[in-house]
Amino acid sequence: MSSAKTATYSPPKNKFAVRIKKQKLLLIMILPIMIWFIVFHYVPIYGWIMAFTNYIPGKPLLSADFVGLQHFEFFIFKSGDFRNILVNSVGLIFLNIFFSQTLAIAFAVFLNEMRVTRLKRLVQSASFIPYLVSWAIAANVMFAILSSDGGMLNDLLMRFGLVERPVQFMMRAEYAWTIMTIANVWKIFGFNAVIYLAAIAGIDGELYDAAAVDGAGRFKKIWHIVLPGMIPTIAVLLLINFGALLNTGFDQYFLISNPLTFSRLDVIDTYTVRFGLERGLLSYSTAVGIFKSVVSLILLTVANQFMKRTTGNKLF
Amino acid sequence: MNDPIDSARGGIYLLPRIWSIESFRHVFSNNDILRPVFISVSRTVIGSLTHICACFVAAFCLSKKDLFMRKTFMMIIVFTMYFSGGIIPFYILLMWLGLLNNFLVYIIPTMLSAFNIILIKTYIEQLPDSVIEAAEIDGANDFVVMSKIAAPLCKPIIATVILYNAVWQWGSWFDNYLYAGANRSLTTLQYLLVRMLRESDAIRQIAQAGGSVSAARMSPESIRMSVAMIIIIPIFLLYPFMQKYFVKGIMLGAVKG
Repeated sequence: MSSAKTATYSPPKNKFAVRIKKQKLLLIMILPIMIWFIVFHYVPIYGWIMAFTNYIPGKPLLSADFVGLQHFEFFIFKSGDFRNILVNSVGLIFLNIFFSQTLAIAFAVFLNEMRVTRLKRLVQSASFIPYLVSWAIAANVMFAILSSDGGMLNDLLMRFGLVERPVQFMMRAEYAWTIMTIANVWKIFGFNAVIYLAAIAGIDGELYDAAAVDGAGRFKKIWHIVLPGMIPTIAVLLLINFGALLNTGFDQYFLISNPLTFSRLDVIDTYTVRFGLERGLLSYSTAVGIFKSVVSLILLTVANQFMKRTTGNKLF
Repeated sequence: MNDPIDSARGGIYLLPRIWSIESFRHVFSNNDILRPVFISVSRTVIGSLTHICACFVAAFCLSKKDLFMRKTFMMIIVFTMYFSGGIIPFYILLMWLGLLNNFLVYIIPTMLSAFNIILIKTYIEQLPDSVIEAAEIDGANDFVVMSKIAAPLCKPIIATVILYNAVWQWGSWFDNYLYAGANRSLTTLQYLLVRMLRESDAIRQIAQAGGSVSAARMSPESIRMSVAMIIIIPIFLLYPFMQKYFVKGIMLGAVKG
């Protein structure tokens, strides 16, 4: 025992030093990168102290009055906004996930069945463009289509005599979710379809031949081979989407909402920005932000566990 | 010298109002579409180039299996994909760092992304070991191996990451609105368009003040459309050539997932 120890023994300090010396360049290169990650992703967590105090900008963070969970309490129970914000965030995201994923799956299967390669490429390219176009442009397009003042949709409806006066689509709260969901789906489904196409391309070709021998037609092949082959990808994409459930984004809601539809489009991110940066209630909106981050992490962990048990796919 | 539109914008409560010289400049730049074009192009070019350099260095280092503290580094990086400190603490951080209303706010906070690092790292790990080992035996140091051997082999993934990042940089306006909204000389094309969409004032200013002779004769609507065209044309021109990289990029990401 002791002889073996002495035989392989070398002072750990020395070994450590040798290793460091050998990797000197690598470590010099990675050091600034790790500092960047700590500064931009971990230092903000230190700022969470704000949520438990009444922070005043310009003063040291630790000198602010400690108020405990008061801001959280206010947001959840007293602000009167909590329910609306939650309903909007979760509702819009669910609609978005549901429609963009089902449409993308259907579209990918459809493209895969298409035999005219050139047309297939053209359709795929066209569906992918919205993903590359910024929300500022997308909002402009939507206004051009939906505007009550010379918008395309209203023009059409008027021409066919379906409506007498232009409908103010963008100004009506009852249309807000529909318009938002269409915009979201339009922008993302082409991107998701490419992921699903990749999944379909990864399916073993022999399976099709085997199914053909068994007499399976096109629809049977889709049902028994293509769709099951996509399940791992569907699981991972759903997982990522659920993890980001409260991560609604900001751009589209800010651009498409207006004072009349605002109450239906106010999501947690817009709420945080509005209270924090526009009204200057830093401590309060930090608390709202923490609520979002923590709930997101819990949702992601739960979804991850669920997927691991049911389909064997996981993110971490 | 705060104009009313500006005062209504985000961030003003937190800012020392010391940009009096700036406000003279913004009168000129606000009337000009060329300035936002310049800002948009420079943030896209500088931003995506720094992004790819930083991400590639990170990915190369982390692809070394025996790197000191590799697991810890990876954990620190991967965790940021699923968790964020929130927008307000981030804003305060940018304030502390003096990045607010500074051109660098477009570049530095977006320099690295966990997702792209992992994407490139996976790609490097798939390269045949023999090439890199041969160079190491020849006595090349890590930096030389990275820039002379690994980087050329990674061209496809580098192109993909650059493209996605460039499209993102070109298309984003939210950071402009939040972190550089008070400094009109840093207005990007996207934010100019957003402002035109939301405030009829912004567009009227440009139409009336006539930064350029032709602008003075244009209707607000056509100014808005011309800005939209400036934004959209580069993407449409590049798209046919870049399509394979875009699709390849998603597929690589999907395989990783």
